[in-house]
Amino acid sequence: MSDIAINVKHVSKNFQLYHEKRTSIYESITGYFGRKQHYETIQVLDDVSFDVKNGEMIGIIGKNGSGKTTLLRILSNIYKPDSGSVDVNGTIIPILALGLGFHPEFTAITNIVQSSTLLGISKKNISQKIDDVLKFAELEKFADTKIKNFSSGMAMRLAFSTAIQVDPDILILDEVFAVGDLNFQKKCFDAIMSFKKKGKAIIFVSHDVNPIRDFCDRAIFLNQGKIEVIGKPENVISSYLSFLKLKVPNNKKLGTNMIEKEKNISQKPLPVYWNEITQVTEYLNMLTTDNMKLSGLDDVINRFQSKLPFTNILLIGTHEFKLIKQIFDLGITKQIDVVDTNLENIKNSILQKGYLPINYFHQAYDSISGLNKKYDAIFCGPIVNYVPNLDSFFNSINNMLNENGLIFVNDYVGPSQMNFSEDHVKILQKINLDIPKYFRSSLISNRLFDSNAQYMVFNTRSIQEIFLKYFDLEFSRNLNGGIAYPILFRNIKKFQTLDGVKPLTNLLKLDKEYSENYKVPILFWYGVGRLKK
Amino acid sequence: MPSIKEEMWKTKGILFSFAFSDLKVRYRNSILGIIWSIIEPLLLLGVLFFVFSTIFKFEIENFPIYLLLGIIVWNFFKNGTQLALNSLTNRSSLITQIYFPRSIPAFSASITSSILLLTELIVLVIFMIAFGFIPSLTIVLLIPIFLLEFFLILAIALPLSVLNVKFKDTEFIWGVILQAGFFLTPIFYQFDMLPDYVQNILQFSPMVQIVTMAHHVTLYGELPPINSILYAVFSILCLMVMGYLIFRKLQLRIVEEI
Repeated sequence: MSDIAINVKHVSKNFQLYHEKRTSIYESITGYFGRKQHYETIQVLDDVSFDVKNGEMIGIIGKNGSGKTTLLRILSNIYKPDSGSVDVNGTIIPILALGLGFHPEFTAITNIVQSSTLLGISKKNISQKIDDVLKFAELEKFADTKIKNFSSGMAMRLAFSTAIQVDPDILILDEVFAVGDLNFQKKCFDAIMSFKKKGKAIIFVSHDVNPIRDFCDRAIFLNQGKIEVIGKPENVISSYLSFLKLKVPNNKKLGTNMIEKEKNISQKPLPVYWNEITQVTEYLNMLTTDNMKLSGLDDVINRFQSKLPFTNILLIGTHEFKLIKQIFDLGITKQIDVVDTNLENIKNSILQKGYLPINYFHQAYDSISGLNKKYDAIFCGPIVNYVPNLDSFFNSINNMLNENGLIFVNDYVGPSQMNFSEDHVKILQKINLDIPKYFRSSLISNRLFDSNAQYMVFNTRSIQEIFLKYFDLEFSRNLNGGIAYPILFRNIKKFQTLDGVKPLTNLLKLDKEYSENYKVPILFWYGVGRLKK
Repeated sequence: MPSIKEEMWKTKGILFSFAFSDLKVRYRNSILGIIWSIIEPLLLLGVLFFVFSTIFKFEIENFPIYLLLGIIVWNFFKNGTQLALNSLTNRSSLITQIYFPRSIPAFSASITSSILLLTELIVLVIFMIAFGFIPSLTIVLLIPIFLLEFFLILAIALPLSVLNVKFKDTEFIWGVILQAGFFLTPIFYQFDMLPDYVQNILQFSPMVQIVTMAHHVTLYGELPPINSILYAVFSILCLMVMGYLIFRKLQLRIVEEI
């Protein structure tokens, strides 16, 4: 068997982009005789050549529309290249999206069988593997449950577990495996790495440079259908980052400010997580633009800035390990204390933390005590829905907050906690119909909707209720121009729309309207607030 | 390049998985499930029987069985082609995620309709028992007749599935054709009741010949007329060649259009 798993030679691909797609025969006929050309040809891939060896993991990075997905589809034989050739040695399995062939009406087991069949596994092997899949997904109890009754997190886990148990010679991964909680993500990465150890080739696409730096042997930077750089991940990533920085429109002072601060504080050079930092700064930039004249927003920024750097930060819950990284990378603090009820979570993040100076405390959320410190800021990860007694929880964190300290509540209210009444569902269906289409679709891709029922879902004990009950509303309103924002740092990009409308503005409006009209929360909340006195 | 046959054999798992899911999806959330495939033709039978035996006073021997057989043969064709029509468009997300031969959905639609056919045939047997009708041995010839019809379905399903991706009109046009076909096929009347010039045109319809043959072998205990066999085989062969050519040309860019 030869050493080369995939050999890509001079592959080019054009797409015909119809300005007005002709899909009816009449249009086709009139279009045929009309002299005007209705489409333009776009070169998506332009003379791409590279090879992948067995046992090698190669990362492909590039902006949206740079041809990454097209390349993967050509490698997986879904598209035919216009010119050039792709030689593949061995079986190839693409995982371009999760839940291949999943049907909401079928049970978990049926879906595993169907999906595996599509991935080309023989019937005999499938029946042997079903238990493994369910075990990996930690869904043994739900083997005979229909997928439509799964939470989106469960469905994702099942989808990933199904995809990962195939045993191809070459694995193609589109950015799909950042699913589930920290534990599960680690499991996924382990599974992928074990593929590599078995000498299989992996091709992996990502927007995020971190996994490419951490796991890949080589990387490709694809730009407008051409290979810009190919080689060691560090080199490729640095040229990608420098390319992006040129492209970022007028890097505003706030953004640079923060990156500089980060440089000043850290003693040894820290890796810069570009993706996350820019998104955070972008978020703050967006809040400061003139188009956003919601009351009190400048205050948020000023306060945030004037408080920097925080001396002490308390993070409650390790669920969002990325948040810890972000906080360090922003350089807004030197020390972080973390509380979590689950020892396993703590162990896991200790394993991952590397250089970070973090103190961990293993305690129940509703009676955090004994830390003997006052904090400038307390970040609540997505845990408020798991706290048994909110009163004592907020009491205990209130005691630990400095004068003028801020509390950030970052919670995700969504399908992972399905607990709704009939009335709620009806309201949500109504809202769903009201939302402009472009939001709807972007929300779907954001997994904010239950994929089959097509309505938003939310928790009965909503974040809004929590805000109403515990927070100094006057204060929060001044800070936020509302009670809370449907904003999560890392998801801002996905809220953008094509037509140039300031998406955040609209979303905030929607949020306010809906929150007032229907008294329901919108799904992502990133609230800044102060507790009631 | 693996040959088409090899590719089909390798992907037979997908083929049956599609057929199976088609069936399951078709009757999801219905209490009676696959029993509907029996009730449906029975209801149609009831209506047609009432209209043509009471109002129009047709006098056809063993009319209920004559009718039912026609409906079953027609349903086989209708189900197969209708399932095939949306077989690719319904799987748009699948097609952009993984490679499988583009002919599989059309094939699986034909298989699904064959399974439905089997359930409907059970009704036919029950009817024959109920009416005390004993068919002669020639009834086994229904098997090659249905096989012939299977090829006809395939010949139409393949191009329909890809055409519907390219032109959304296909769906509506095919709906009209099916409607017309139902009336232009001797399901509730006998072919020779029609005026000669109409017969001359309609004899080229493969469905007319297939239904006629089915009636012959089941009800009259005769071998099918040689003319019918020739017309049917010839027209189905033509359709298969044409269908395959259309399919082959259109399938290349199907993923990008979908």
